[in-house]
Amino acid sequence: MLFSIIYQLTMKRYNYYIFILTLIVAASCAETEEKSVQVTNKQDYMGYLSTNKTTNFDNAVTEKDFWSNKMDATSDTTSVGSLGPLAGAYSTMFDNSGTAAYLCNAENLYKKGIENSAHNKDGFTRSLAHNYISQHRFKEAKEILEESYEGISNKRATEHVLFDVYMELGQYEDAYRMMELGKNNSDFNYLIRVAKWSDFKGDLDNAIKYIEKARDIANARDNKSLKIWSYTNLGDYYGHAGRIQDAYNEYLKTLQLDPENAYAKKGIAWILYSAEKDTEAANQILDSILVHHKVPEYYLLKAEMAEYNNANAESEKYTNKFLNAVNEGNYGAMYNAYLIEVYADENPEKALQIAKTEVENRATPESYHLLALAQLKNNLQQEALQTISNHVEGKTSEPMALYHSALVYKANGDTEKVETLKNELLEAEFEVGPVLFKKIQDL
Amino acid sequence: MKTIYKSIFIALLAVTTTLTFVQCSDDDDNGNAINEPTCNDGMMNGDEEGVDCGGTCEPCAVVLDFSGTYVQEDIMGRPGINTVFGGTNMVKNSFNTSIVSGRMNFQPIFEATMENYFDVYAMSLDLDPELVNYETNILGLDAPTFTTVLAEFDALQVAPDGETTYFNPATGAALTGRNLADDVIDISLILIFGGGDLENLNFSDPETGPLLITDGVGAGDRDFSLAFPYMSTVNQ
Amino acid sequence: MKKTKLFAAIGGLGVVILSVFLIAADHVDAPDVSGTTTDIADLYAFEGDNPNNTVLIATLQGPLMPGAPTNEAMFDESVLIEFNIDNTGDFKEDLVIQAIRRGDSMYFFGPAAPGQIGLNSQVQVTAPMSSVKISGTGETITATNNNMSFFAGPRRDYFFFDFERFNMVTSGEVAPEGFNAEGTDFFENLNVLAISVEVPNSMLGTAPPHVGAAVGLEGLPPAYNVWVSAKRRQ
Repeated sequence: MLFSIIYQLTMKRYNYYIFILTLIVAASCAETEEKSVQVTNKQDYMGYLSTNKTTNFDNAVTEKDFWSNKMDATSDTTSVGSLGPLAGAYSTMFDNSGTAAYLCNAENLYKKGIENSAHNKDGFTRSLAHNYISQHRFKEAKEILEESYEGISNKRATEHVLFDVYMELGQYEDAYRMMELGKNNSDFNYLIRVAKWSDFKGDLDNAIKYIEKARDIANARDNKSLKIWSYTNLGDYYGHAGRIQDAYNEYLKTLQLDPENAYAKKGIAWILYSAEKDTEAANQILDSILVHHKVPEYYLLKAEMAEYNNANAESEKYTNKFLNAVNEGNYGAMYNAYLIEVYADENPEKALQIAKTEVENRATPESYHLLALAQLKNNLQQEALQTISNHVEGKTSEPMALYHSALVYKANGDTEKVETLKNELLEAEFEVGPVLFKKIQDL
Repeated sequence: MKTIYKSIFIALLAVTTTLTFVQCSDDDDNGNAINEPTCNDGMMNGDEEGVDCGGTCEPCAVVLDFSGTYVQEDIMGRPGINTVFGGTNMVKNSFNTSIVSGRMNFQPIFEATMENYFDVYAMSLDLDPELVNYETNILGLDAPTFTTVLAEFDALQVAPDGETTYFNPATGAALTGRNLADDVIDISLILIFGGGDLENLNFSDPETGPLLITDGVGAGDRDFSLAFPYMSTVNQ
Repeated sequence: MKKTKLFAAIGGLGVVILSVFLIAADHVDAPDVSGTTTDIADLYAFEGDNPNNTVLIATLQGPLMPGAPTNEAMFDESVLIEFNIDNTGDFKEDLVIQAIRRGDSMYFFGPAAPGQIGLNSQVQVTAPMSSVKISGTGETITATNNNMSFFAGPRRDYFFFDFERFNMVTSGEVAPEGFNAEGTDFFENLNVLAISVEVPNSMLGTAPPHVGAAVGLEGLPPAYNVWVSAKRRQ
């Protein structure tokens, strides 16, 4: 359950309009059977699990050593030439290990770059903003970007990152303005942003269309990192659309390019669990990832699968592992959304406190539905209803937001709205996963 | 070019105006009468994916597509223009997407940027910035003319006859090309900061003042004796 | 000074790209916006070993660290590299030599008059075409065709420059000292991708009077005006 909630956060919204159109069909067949489709084939991916290699991480360490030696060799300088690549190496080390300290190393280097660079303060500023976004420090990212944008800067590049930050902060009009300034249907950077925008508007068809266009550009350029980015994102979007086979294919394509890609492996694990109900195989994948990539969220998926198997003690064990990993990992605000979910039942006060911080940090519908959940669990039904009415209803079609809205409406006795939302949510079986799907059925 | 090339090429021409090319695999067709499908019978048969290619035959040729419009993202003539003058909005946002013959607007920015470098050093030396300025350089170019050359004529001049060099103090040849060995940094610094007397350059003595006419770096152990492509393989 | 895109190439940075792995909630974190594959590092133009030839070299995507970053660096198939030659003295390209990667080879077109001058180009597919297999790290594959020679692949960076100190000089941080008498060559142990063409001067037309005459520099020999551009497919 917990992970499916998280999964929603990840996998984003869904096509509201399609739901409406297909409601009648959905209603007639939604509760008929426990579906289990077969998409995966162990032979496709097993080869990627057994690898003990950590090539991406090792290469990044080699780069880190090279650039830091170069800095040491010119200790009388501010080393702006080495700062960027060194910070990049740390960021890659973080991406491939989940160790937050590397992200902090990169942050400090980018700050030095901003301070010391004669002509490229804006380049370092964009990199630092990117780093802040990874750390969920959105307001700081916005602040430095806006200041840089006002000053001497490469406008187009800065507009792209400003779009990203505005979306995180729920400043959708500003985000749209930034996006339109760079409108160019043959620009990868524009296409991935207009895809995100389409998804935000609930237009999954266009989101997919634009990501596919971006994917075509990545392919035409034969650019490995852009291909990986496109394939994994496309896999997720196909997942939202219920195109499980297509999603699976994208994850496999990613692994062909990057056999260590944890994100693609996790995507396949989700297919195994949600579509095929094969938690054993899914756990096998997660265990193989966890050897090198110790990121807390995998424990949540394990906890959810244990819950699915009615192994409640085990589920609790993994939930605690998640909490420990977050607490020990020095992740700052990065896992707040997850923590609200986790604490909602057992420590509602704490959940509410984190939710308030999170809304302060990013005033988006995705934060507000969590606040509403926390309010609900603290027996503040009316406040919860107000939160949903003012900040969530009609503003997002993300399944998790819809589910929490339904809980709030139910607690406030609005059965009509509960029924509407329930019918929409029943369409998202793959995306929500079996544990949550059951709860939706019971709404 | 072989059969595959021709057939695909012609087929494409027939269908579309998009011009394409293929990389050829090098099997020749022959005129033998054949019963069994083979990889050189000039027909697509058996498990072939194209005429005499694919399946159990050699992989099919790749169709090369060179169609489309390509739009400028970067441009370079002389070394360092962006680097030296890249600290302004206008250069950051439009220099690389402008054409060489359309850069009149950049000249005043270049001149101001250059003058600003002098001001920084004047102030650090407690001198009046008004008194520490660019001086007509060894080419005899004053500030407006020099920055006009940099902004509006940003190309390497390349002489087909005679020595090609960015500047060779030994022979006096200048502005006839750019060699791999040319110390374009020092030359550029001299042109900006050195003033007009090659024998007595400004900012040349770290004992008495700022050193601004050399970065103190030479070509090191780079090998300039190589035949085409003239550059050595990579640093390992 | 130098290196067109040095500042842009550094800091923006190339390596990071995807923060997809950690917080799934922000999966749509964008890849780094600074595409570096159009970044031109340097342009060289000089007389070849055969004095009747001119050599044109463009270096790209530098600086590259030795090892994996160099080994994995690839020319971008959507980027057209164009050597522009003005042989009339108006700083508009009269001839272009174009280079673009397809698969494992670099394809060259020209020298030929461009279909249009300025910011937009098409590949001059009707011009004479040549190709050379792109060299791997440590190998040197060249090709000759139409009396021209061609190369594409990773090379040692021949640009030498105390970049770090330059930044401090430029920012005023080391005013009033300026440069060190003994500098440190930032590029000494770095690499680039290079595209090289050696072309007979007879194929470049007659050189116009040297532009120096326009600003009072007398006695300079006739000279083509040459620049390189990187153009991305739309």
